[in-house]
Amino acid sequence: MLSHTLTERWTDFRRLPHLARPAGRAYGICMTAGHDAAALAFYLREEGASALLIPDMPIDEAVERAIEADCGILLHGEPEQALVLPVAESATVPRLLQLTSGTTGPPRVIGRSWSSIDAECDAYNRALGSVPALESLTPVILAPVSHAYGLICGVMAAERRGVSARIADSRNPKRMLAALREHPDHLVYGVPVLLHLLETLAAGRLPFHTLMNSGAPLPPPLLERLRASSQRVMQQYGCSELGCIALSVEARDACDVGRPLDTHELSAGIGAAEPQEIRVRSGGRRIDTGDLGYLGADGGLRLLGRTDDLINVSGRKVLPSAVEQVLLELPGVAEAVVYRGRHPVMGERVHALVVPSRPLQEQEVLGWCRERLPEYQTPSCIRLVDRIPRLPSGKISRRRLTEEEGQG
Amino acid sequence: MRREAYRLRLREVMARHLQLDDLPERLDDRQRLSEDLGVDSIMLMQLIVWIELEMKLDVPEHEVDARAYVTIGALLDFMLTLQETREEEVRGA
Repeated sequence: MLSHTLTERWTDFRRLPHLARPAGRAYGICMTAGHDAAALAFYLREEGASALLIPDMPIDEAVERAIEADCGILLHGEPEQALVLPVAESATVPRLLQLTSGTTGPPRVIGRSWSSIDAECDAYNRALGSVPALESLTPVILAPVSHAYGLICGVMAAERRGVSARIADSRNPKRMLAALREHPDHLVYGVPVLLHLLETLAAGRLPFHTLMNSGAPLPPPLLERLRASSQRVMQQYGCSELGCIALSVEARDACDVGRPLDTHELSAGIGAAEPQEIRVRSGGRRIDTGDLGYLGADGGLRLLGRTDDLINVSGRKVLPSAVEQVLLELPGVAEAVVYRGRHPVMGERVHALVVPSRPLQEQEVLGWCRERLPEYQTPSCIRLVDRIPRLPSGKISRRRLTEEEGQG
Repeated sequence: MRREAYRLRLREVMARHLQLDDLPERLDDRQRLSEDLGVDSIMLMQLIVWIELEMKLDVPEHEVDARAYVTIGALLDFMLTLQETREEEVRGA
């Protein structure tokens, strides 16, 4: 039984000519309001149509995305605004379509049948099963529902356990905070940058209940502050092809993404010393994620970054997250990111950006690293900055930092 | 004049917290946040947090009309409609 908030608009949708008989068709959904996007996705699933999730963007860009994914109709801004696209639609199993962010290679379209998404939701809910009084928590979705994390794990999985999610995407962080206050027993679906904003804004005056993070690991100092101001911080990890892969119901450290869902078999490195690419087998498929990790002694997966983030310093592999960990242990370092620098003669080098929280000299940071790291892992270039550049998604791309430095 | 005081403080906040290097000496009403000053959607959310915390202006809890964030002039107009937060509200509640 679907919640009223998502189905109340279906009557309106059925009156719209372009939404009256959607079965078998594919729609690009690019909504200003997340609630509209979620209501449309549920409606199209109900009616046996396919839906492509498109983040809020200008119409000409959205048209391009919709055509790439063979959608015959683009809904832009509001459900009433439809644009017929010059696409020869072919009959397929009704599915959810997603565009990958394209951090590696050009954007790709990934389609997943609605039934496989239901199966993911059920496995996801089983993984959440050990959270006390789960049914009494209201999922408050701050992450965009134009991504699988917000829509599938946040909204759809909640519906399948009989709970109605509150979609609270907004450009105004105070509105997000108000949604948390309105639902004191909240289960927040956030990403690091949003959780960071809320933590700053709440300044310890609003106790958080339960927080879920995904998209990128939380920076360790932020994780510690969130753990101190909430009852529980969880983390999950996934990819577009499979959805959620692993989930930690109690994130003990920043890279802890917990145990794999029971529908997945997972291989990664054994122990921190030898991380390897995370590979997942599920339903007869094997996905090489391009992410680097290892399985801890507790059976939980630790996520360390992208395999292509590894820095090859004269044949020796440096793991950026290991160097970042050392930098973050220096009192006065608020944030740190380590990435591949290029030297015309020396080849790949370790470079670091550091956000200080007190007056700090580059030499002091360097000295700290020299005492704690072998020479090849010690950054050859440390820059103190006020802010780490992020992608629009809020993620840090080490590859982008390398490229930008190359141009600059 | 409150508007001019806000203009100066806004520039300070943008330089310090958003680390925008190429800010003009004086923010002009016609400058667009996104196209001219390089403020992306995440930075805009950060800017709202700092308008509240550093400039002590009480940002409302409802959705703000997106047009308020298009130009510096519109943003200053929006800020002039905000109440200053009282200290007890900042500490208490």
